[in-house]
Amino acid sequence: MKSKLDGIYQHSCKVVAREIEGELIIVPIASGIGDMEDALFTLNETGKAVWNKLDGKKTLKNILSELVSEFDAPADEIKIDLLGITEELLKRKILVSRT
Amino acid sequence: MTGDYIALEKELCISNKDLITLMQAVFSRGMPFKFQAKGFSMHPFIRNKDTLTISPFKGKARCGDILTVVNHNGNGLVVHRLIKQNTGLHYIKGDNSGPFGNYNKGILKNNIIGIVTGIERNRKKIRIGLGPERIIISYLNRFGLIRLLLVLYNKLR
Repeated sequence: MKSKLDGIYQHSCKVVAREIEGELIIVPIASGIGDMEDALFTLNETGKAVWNKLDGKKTLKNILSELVSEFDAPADEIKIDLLGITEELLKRKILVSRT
Repeated sequence: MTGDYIALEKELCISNKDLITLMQAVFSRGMPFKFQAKGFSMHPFIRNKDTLTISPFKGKARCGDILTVVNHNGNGLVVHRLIKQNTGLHYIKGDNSGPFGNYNKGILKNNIIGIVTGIERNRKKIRIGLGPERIIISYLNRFGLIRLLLVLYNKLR
């Protein structure tokens, strides 16, 4: 049975993301418009760390291992954050599944 | 580490340099970019807080087009009207300028990143200033006559 951690995800081609003053800003390009007026998204530090690893090649399991070695936090907590962020990004269609 | 990971922002104040970064990132996908204008240099055709749609510059500008220009340092952004062009240089000026003020030195094509293709005010599309009348506007602009006409109009009202 495939777990959520087996999933591979990548950034949607319908968004543009840039780091501005330490914050990651995501601008949706919906209906052909990169639109700052209507809405855009910012990710916190945790979200940014995860975003940078979602490259369409690594499974969430791989990403979790990397985050566990990089961050001084319990593995269970990191796993909750990783799955939470992924779910949020998928819900907003900022992230897409490759599997 | 738990908490809100993603924030939805309706308003974000960033520097011109960062705005240019975002704009160019969107342009690299061939997409237009929208943002809220600040300032009065293009009054009355673009007003403070109007929402502008900027399309990527494709190499050719026509007289009267409203151009988005980056300065040579890459940290200054100007949205002004093209009033004249000759070999290699584009001359832009704010519609609200007097006859002698704010006449920018010629801009190289490389500094032009976009063209205004849409203006919205209070969620309504504004067409005036972007259609064929832009040619007449550019001539009036060149001699600072738009500001003069506005002053006369305000006095007569």
